[in-house]
Amino acid sequence: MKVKQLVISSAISILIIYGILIASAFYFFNSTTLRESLSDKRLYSAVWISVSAASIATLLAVIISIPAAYALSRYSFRLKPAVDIFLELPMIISPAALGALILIFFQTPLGNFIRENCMDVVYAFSGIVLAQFITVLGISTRMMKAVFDEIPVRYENIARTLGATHSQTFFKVSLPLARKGMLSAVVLTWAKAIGEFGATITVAGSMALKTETLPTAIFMKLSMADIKGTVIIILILFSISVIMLVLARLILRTKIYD
Amino acid sequence: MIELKNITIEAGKFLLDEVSLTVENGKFHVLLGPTGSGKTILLETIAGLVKPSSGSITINAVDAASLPPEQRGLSYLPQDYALFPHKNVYENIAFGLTLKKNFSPGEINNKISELSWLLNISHLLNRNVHHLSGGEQQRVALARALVLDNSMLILDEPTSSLNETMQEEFCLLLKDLQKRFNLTVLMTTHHKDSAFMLADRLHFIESGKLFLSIDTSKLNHTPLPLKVAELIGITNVLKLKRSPENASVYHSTELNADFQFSEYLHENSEEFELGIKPVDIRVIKEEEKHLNHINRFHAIVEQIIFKESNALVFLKNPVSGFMLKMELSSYNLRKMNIVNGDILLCKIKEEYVRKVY
Repeated sequence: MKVKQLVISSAISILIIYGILIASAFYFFNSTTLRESLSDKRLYSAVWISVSAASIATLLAVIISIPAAYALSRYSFRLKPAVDIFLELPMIISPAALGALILIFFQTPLGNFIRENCMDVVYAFSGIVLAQFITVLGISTRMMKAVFDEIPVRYENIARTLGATHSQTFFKVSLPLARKGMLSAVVLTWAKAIGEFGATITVAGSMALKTETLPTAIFMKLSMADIKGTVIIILILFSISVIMLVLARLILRTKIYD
Repeated sequence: MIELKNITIEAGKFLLDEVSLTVENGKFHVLLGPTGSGKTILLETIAGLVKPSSGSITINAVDAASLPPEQRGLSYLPQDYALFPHKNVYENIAFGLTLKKNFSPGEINNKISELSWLLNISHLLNRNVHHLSGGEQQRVALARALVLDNSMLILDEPTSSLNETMQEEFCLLLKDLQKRFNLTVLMTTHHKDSAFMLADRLHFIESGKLFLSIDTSKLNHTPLPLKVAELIGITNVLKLKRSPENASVYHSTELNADFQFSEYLHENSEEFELGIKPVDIRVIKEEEKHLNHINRFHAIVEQIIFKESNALVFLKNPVSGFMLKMELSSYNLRKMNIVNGDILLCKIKEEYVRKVY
């Protein structure tokens, strides 16, 4: 009984720790500042840049993640252990270092070629997308792989014996079975992308109306000691993320495979 | 016809060792073996889901080694049925047909209606597969396999999760379907009763080795490897040696008794081993003791274990201490008033015993 109480207390302490942090934001909440912020073009720009960059970065990550995760879940291949390690790269390396690596890459001949002929990422919207994409790609693939790992191979095997080719099996069995888990992974990837700060500010800076995202706007407001303004942006970012996380929870609530 | 030649599969510590097997067209073949003997992996190899380390597989005279599962023309019923959880019963059955371009929705509908009527699952077609009982799931999975009109059906332990009554019903259904569609069937099981009920030909497998393939009709008079004998319930094995005084008499030191058996059993060998099922040992009744019974021996009742309507009696030879198992009906046990410590005069029924090696 004591152990049970202890572990439940630990779980509740998490709620208390984060609850206090969120509650402290409300201590500085001011409706006048809210009204002022809501009429500020800069805030709308930051919301739009954050949402659109996170959406594009998530889309790009998902396009690579789904087939990559399927390969990692189902097949053995020579570079699999190396790929597996690199999925953790964004987690073991600081976001600022990841951003710096992106900048360093664009100083190499290949990076220069891309900058001159395709796109320039430094202090640009594309830089935000790239920074977020690089940050979430590993996590997205890891989550997608967990989804495929959870689907028993026996369904794919039986589909093959019923006449389905590899691709028919993937599209008619694996993907439909993974649908819910994948949707949840997409939402979490998007939430991670929209909250990305370190790599984004390193690559794209925080230029108002151009490359300022919600997290970088929080940093700028705080650096100007505007606590009330900071709180408003935090609450907006928090609301967007909570909505997406609740959505993910709802999607995950029912499992479609046993 | 499916022909396996020297199929070897290494899966971790498990080794399926040079298995050769022929499944003749139109016959019901049963692969009988205990759990973990390699039955499932062998079926998966035939279905194309597992690649053997060596050996060859031909299906209808075509080398199947490089054929993917979808081109093997086999219907496969896995042990856990693997019904697609994202599809209802109708969609599950229709899955294979919808992949083929030559079936219109109307034709698919007709085929499913016909088969579901035959398998008594018409009322389940719109159900979610999660809401089916084990037996219903099995019939749906069977319909999904049969609807493709393949002439070959392979089934992995289809009776393992069924109770005795359901096992019997399912076996009758399978036998009927096999005749109706002229199917070539290979089924795995560890239930000897299901195996004997269905098989035209039996294949015995244990620890990755195929010990014997034999027509069921020939099983009664064929010497059996010891492992095969155990699989079909022969738990008593006696060593018999020809008597120096009488060439037609064999002596058992273990039972301290003499026996006379037909020539097909001993084949005039100097010594041989005799396999006896517990049900083939009988107690000689008091009123029959004066008759000239052959193949008698004395034994002490060591322990009695009651099963459903039968009792398993552990017998011990008073001289050698050799143990035997005898099975008789609980009714007879009570009628003869047999209790622990009794000394019984028993008889072996010659017609069912067989030579083992």
